[in-house]
Amino acid sequence: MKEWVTQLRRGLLEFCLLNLLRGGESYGYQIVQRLKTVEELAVSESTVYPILTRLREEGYLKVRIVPSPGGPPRRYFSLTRLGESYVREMNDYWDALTEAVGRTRLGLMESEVRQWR
Amino acid sequence: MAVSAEVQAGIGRYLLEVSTYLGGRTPQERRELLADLEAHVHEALAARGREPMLSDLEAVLAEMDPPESYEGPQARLAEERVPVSDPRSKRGLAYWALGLFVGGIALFGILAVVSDGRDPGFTLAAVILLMVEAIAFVLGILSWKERPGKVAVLGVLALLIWIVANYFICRSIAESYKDEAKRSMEQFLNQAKTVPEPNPPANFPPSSETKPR
Repeated sequence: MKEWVTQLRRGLLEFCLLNLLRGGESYGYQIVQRLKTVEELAVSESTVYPILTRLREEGYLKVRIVPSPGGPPRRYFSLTRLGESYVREMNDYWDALTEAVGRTRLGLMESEVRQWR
Repeated sequence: MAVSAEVQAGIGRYLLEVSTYLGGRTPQERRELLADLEAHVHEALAARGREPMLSDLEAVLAEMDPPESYEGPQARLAEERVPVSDPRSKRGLAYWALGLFVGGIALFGILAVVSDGRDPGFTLAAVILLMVEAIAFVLGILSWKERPGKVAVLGVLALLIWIVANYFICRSIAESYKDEAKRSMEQFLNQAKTVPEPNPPANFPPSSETKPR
């Protein structure tokens, strides 16, 4: 069970991160804090930052560097056009998947109910 | 929020320790990750709302993942995905494509100058140019995601269009010269027909009597 949840979280984290950036650009710390509010994802820096780096390398995200007076510059992440279409596809697939999974679960439940009758 | 040298040194130590677990990543990935982490630590310190002390840094770092976690499953996942669609592996190919594109033109220019635009040197230069540019085009297509690859492909296409356009321009110029030459020849022949044959001189051919002795 634990391994299954870990695997599921991994894929979902990227999905949630991209959806979070649909609302506008955000910097690393802000992204981590926002994702941390979703307790089920069990987000931490060591999972978010490597994903951000990879998504930027793959062209789904772009970075805007903004100087900060008291510390290192903030790196604002936002979706590229490729990223926008990628997250749209992901959302479409997610809708189809959850519906199909829901139907499957419902069908099984109905057959179980019939069996009991 | 400005941090003391002591706190900055503590952040540096943490980042250095994290960097020891980033061995499988490219230098750019390492730089970006460490920059994000450094900014994260600073933001977390600033969120505490006072000038950070060493104890604040310790508290912040205690809330964060330990350095060894950067070698964790998520990091491995990122590395596993690298060969599938890794643009880095195509970068070398893209530079080769661009190099061949530029090199091919340069080589053609040198050979054309050396041969003084005469065959067989010029034809050899043209054949080499076409072969090199074809290779550059293929490599450029294979590394299309990279900017040098794109430049190579578009450059080869532009060169090809330029060559074809020049061929047709030269051909039309040659055709017009040919027509003009034909017209001139016809005009000359017509004029030649209308000109009366000149009368031979009275003593032509010279008779034996008038032959000088």
